[in-house]
Amino acid sequence: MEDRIIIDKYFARDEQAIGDTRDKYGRLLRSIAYGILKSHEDSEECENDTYLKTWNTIPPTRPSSLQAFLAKITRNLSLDRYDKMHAAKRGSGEVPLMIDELEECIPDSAMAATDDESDSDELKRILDKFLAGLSPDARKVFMRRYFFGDSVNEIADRFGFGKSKVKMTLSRTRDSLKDLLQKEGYHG
Amino acid sequence: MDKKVNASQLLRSLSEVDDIYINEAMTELNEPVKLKSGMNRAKVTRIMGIVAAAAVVLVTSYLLLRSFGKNSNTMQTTDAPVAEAEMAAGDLRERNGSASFSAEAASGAEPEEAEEMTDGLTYDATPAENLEVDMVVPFDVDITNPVEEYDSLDELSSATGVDISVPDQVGSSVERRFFAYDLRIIEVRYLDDEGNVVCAIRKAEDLYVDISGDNECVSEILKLDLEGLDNVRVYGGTDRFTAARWTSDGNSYSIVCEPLSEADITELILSVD
Repeated sequence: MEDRIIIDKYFARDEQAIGDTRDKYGRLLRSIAYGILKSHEDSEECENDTYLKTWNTIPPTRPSSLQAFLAKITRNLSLDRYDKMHAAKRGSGEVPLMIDELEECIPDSAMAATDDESDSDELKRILDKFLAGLSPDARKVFMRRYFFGDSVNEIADRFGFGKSKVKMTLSRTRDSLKDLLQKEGYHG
Repeated sequence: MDKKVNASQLLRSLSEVDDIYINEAMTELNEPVKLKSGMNRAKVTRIMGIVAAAAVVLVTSYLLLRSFGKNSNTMQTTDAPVAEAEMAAGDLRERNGSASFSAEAASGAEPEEAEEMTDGLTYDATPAENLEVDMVVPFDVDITNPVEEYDSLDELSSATGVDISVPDQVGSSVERRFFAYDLRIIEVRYLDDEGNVVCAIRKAEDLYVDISGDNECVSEILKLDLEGLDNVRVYGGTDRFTAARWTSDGNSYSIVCEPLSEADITELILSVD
């Protein structure tokens, strides 16, 4: 079913929209949540929360890409749940590893991040600019690792690359991101 | 500790990146054409043509080997079927008039015309999926050209059911040509007095994908807030823009053009409906 038709059903407040969304994107959303939470039960709950949030957001929002729209919601809900689960101590799975790796991108001059919306808009702008300048291969590898939470092995299997190539690509890409953050004067 | 907090924020902020990159990362091995800096589009088109021709040879080889295997219990040498396959591919090429049919015909350009494009405009009218469709067509079936040219805008609209309103002229253009890709994406191409494409405007109804065919990595992406239009982005560098993409009422639009200022490309976007 075309996304436009599913979105139209949300606008018409037709509950079948949720069933259609589950049929088309359920598996994808569970895999995104599982990449972060590493728990089938929690992933299913995040998937269901995604449908509820989507129901409450469309309308008024009319996403240009329903797939990306749902992926973002699931990712954010999964990160929220991860934070709650591991508020007191360092968690397990890919998230702490991703944070450790991304620390390498933070310029030494950066101060602690704030919740200021303008800071987050600025970071989004820099990230879009950064991604636009990457080669398609490097961009896909970077997004699989840090958006979807895929492990190096999973990325290597997905794209048919060697593990060392994936690691090298990620390392170089992080270096490039650090350079750009420095150049753009990112201070957290 | 500060760095850890910043890294967490960075991880969070990745949820807000452009949808294009999220969708791209969800594709499997269907990679877009890699464009190295300074590599022109015609060169890429030529390479894609060679790859497509090679693929036709491989597919026909496979089909011939399979059918040959079914009809004979004797051991086969690889030379004969490959030679036959090459002949079959040659016949295909002859029927279609060009060895690099897939790439060049899909772009709606004659080989000479494709060359001419290198001078002025970084422009590629070849949706990658067209190439894949060509490759899986059985070799004994005529390959149909996915690109149709029409004599007028009215003819284009009535054939495809997609209406578009575009300016009569863009920049130095002196001529307009009208194309449809698989009857789903329509394109109005503007050419200057030497036949160079100076602008191409595309529209597709009910398609939420990038229809520009433009894979150029750019240094600047600007998001414009234009009334009635969604997700308007213009692409280029140093205040000159060569592409734009947006959606409106469930339709996708794109422009690929010679470098324009922000004001000029905005005016051009607003002139399309």
